[in-house]
Amino acid sequence: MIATENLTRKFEGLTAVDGLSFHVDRGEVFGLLGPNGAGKTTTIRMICCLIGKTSGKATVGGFSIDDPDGTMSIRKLIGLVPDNVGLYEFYSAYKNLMYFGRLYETPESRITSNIEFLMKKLDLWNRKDDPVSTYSKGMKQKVAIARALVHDPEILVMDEPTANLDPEAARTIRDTILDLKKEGRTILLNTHNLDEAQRLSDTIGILKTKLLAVGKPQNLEHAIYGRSTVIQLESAGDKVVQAVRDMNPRKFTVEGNAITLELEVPEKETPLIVSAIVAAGGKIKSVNETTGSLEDVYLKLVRGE
Amino acid sequence: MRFWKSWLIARKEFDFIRIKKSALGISFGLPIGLGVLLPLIIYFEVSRKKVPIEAITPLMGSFAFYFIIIAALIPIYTSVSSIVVEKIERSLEPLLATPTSDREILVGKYIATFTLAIVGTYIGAAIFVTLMDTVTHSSIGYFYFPNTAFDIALFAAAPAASIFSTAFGVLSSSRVTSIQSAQSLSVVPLLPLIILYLMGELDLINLNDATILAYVAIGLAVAAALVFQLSTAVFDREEILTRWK
Repeated sequence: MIATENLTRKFEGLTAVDGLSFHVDRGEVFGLLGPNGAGKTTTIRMICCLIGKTSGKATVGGFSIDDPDGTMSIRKLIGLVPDNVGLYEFYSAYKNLMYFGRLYETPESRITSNIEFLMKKLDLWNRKDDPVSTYSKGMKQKVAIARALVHDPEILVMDEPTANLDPEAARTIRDTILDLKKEGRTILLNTHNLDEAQRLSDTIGILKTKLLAVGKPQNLEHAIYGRSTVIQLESAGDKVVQAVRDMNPRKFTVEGNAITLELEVPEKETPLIVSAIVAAGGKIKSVNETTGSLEDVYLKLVRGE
Repeated sequence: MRFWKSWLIARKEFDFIRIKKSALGISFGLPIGLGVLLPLIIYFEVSRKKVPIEAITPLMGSFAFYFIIIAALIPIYTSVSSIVVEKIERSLEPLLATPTSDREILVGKYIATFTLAIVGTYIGAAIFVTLMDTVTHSSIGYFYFPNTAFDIALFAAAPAASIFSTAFGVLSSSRVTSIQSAQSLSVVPLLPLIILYLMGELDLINLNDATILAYVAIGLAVAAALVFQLSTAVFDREEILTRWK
């Protein structure tokens, strides 16, 4: 649904986004993870045709962001939740949604049914006629999400949807995103919240002006940090250590009664090593696999370690 | 260009202005105040000071020019705030993300600003004409207003001045990077009108003359057309989104 190729944006000599290439499949949640100033919002703005690119290519739903006719089609395909809700505070939530539904050229009957459905789903219906200025931050964010969905777009683009929300409100928004994911919406999610990215995204791209890494959350952890197998023994005697060494693992260390192994294919090698240890008279208390967390991966990449 | 979209945006602007007391005050309070105040001045001159009516009529005629200035003054506030408020409240980004062209957005804002300015001006002018004729009819023996010069001022020059000022407000608010700069720049369209008024006061031109007012109206219409084109041409959504403070 979304594809970029060497997408680059410079502002007066400063490169905000540099050679960004990624793709988001239909129904996929793609989390763009990066620190402040990493170019996440600039990327979203280019994809939503709000600002131009300096070089590279991007298509949304098959339409190029360079094509003037295509940009109108792209805007219809996308529902945007910007980093700041940007609602008309003097209007009620209902009127806000009505206004945007019409701007998105949605048939009147569909707008009203969509608004009712969305507001009920997001638990806003009871206060639909109250001015938005009387809403809490969490409620405003829900209205912003409803506004992005009022024309029933194929793609939802969300820029830091839980930033500045209290934990409860943030959780409600995350649950809403999970519901949208279950509905099969294509979602591009900008966040600097690692936990959020991991919980919500099918694929994560780590951005710091350049795309540093991209992949499934688990694969990223494995790719960057590898996987370690820790075998806890009653006693790690010389015979047992020698048996492990004879299996030629990529790397192994012994600390007290624990042997930590780095293996090429843990699924195949671990059972063989366990058998060797047992054959050498070792008594195994536990076997665990560990890997670096997404946070470790993120910090390693962002800090350039 | 889809006019219904511009009208949709204009309706939202009307709703915003309706609850904004300062905008209502400027749009209606100012012209209505002027419509009441000017006849009071004449009433005071004629009734209390016993100034001969022949000496008053040139002054009465020149009052028409105030309504051209008012028509240009109202949009300074409303046109700048319609874009500036959207920017401050961050509602411009979701608006620009909709399949709506820059021209449709701008025309919507023009319609709202112009309508408000012209309706306010006409309400003030109607009060002015009614009170002025009431005050002066017995002395002059006929209804001084409306007359040709006043009609040209009100129905040709005032709308042109309003569009000129609106376009300039939109132009300045979309090009500069802060509210203060936008509001300061938007005062520029008033300057030629004030200069003309001062020239009238110094008897360098006759602002009661229908021909001169027609030239003023034509000049303002040309300026309005040029600035309108310019404001839509240079409206840069990217600059507004990325450079505004």
